[in-house]
Amino acid sequence: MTSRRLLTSPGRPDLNLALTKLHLFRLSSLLSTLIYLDADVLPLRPLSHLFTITSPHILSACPDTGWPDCFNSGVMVIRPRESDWTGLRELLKNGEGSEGIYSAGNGNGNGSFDGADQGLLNEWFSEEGGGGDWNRLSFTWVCSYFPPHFSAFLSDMLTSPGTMSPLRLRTLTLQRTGGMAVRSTRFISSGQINLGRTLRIVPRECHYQKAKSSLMIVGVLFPRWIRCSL
Amino acid sequence: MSLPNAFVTLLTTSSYLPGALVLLHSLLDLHPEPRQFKIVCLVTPETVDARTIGELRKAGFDLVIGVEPIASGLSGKDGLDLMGGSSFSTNFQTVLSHNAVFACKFTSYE
Repeated sequence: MTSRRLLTSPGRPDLNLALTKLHLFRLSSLLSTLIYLDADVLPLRPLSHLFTITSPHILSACPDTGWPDCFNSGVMVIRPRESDWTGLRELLKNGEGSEGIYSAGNGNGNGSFDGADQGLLNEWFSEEGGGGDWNRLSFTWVCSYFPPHFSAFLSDMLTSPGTMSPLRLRTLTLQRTGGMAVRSTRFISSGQINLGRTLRIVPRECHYQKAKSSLMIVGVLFPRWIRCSL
Repeated sequence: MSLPNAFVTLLTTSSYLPGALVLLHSLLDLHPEPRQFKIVCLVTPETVDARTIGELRKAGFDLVIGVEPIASGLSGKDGLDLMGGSSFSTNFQTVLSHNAVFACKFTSYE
């Protein structure tokens, strides 16, 4: 889901942002437990019980749909420790060999095996890594498959385009899906949110340029609705 | 006094601001008061313009914290060397209020 273009700022293409998420592991003097959510995640259900039910695990996350042995770093429950920040830093610096598997190589490359933080974090929070194995959250917390009737929802929305604030988008999504998790959508931030690559919704008072990302909907998934739509 | 819990998100580019705002409002909507957690936004001032940061502060995050971008690759290694091993100073514990406070960033580097 992450493209190389997203790993830099539109105004600063020279500035690689890929691992800025690592700052989360520096918050041990500030927070007891944190639930990290990517800025393009839309919660559909209360999530606060994750603060307690994940205890005492240091890192809890959901399997990545593309490679389920790894966790997806878009939603993580973290109990920050200084040792994880130190270890991640060292892992990044040293990697493997003189260049390290996380190093640039040709100067244009990205670190981590997926170009961003997820590879590095999975390396560290593993049985062999210094952070210890990650705690698996039920896959139902992160969805990327289409429930059949959400396709109908999208069709409905197509016939009534118009301006819609992010809050209204969320309200409608909740109403139509009954809180069921839906597929990742495309969030085109040039003032538009594009659901399923076909719908355009313009958030009021938002005027931004260029970059795209995916809007991942987090919620409760009913197993009978899971089907693969590749 | 034990440390608080928080939802945390990260903004590294202004174009993601609508997502961060929807996330904030969703969390507030889904968790009625009294809330036992804070909602925090990390932001990279080097890549996010001041207007966007201003909107984050106005929007209602409990804390907005400026951080340095961390790059992958060789440039990332240099940056990490300069950042050292310090975690956030304990001063931050005193600024967890309902006013969004823009905290200082870490050691700058070129």
